[in-house]
Amino acid sequence: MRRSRHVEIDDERSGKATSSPMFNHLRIAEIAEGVGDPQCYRGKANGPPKFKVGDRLRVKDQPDLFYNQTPGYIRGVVGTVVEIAYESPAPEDEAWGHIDKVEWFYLLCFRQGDIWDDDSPDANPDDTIQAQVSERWLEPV
Amino acid sequence: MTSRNIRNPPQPVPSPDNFDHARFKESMRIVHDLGGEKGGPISLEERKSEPWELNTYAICECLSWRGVWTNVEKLRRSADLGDKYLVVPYSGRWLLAATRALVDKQHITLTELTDKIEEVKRRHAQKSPR
Repeated sequence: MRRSRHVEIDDERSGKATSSPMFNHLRIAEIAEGVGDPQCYRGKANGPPKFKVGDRLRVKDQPDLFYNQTPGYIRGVVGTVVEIAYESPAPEDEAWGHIDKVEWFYLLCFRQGDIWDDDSPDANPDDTIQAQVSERWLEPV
Repeated sequence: MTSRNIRNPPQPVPSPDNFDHARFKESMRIVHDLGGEKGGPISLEERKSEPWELNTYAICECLSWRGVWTNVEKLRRSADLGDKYLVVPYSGRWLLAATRALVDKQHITLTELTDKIEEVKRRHAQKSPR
């Protein structure tokens, strides 16, 4: 295999694949070692969580630019915070290796009837579904 | 010899004057965002992974371990496959995503890869003549 142009001389002997700040994912492997991901981001968010368990929040319909992990079917729907889950970079950032901006993630509970128009006899609108969303996607009702 | 490319009827490219925001928004939906769409029945039978699938999982983990990518980047790169996301098996996404990552990050070049594929094909043909 040809060596990457991003390899630094220092890294050559240890065989590290990348060291350019642009592609420095090895840092994630290092900080997550022994603690796990997202546990390695604990305490890294910029301040305490903005929302608390029980809050009613609406999922923002932000633009779909190339990548995110917010399902389309909960956009614009109001859900209830059931757990403040963890801190992590937003998937939109982490997907390109940016891990410096860490934010809070929430587990939200939605009523099926608020999401789907389904009048079939075996559908119960009071069934629920849960989804994890990062703080930037959420606004108070 | 005829071309291997049999062309589909051309789809009209939207003209800028009737390309409104609603149409733009729909066009920008990410390929993995399939919740709520009709997907057909799901096979509940246990299936043994093919050897190439197991190799693919190992490659993906090694790329994380060696710092080439992260799990989220793997997911993003599979969504980046666009129309190929939906037409290859599940593990095929990861394999194509890993290949693309290695090319994008200049660990390998496409000509090196195609040369290697040719070489392996030749070796394989010698070992198991049909």
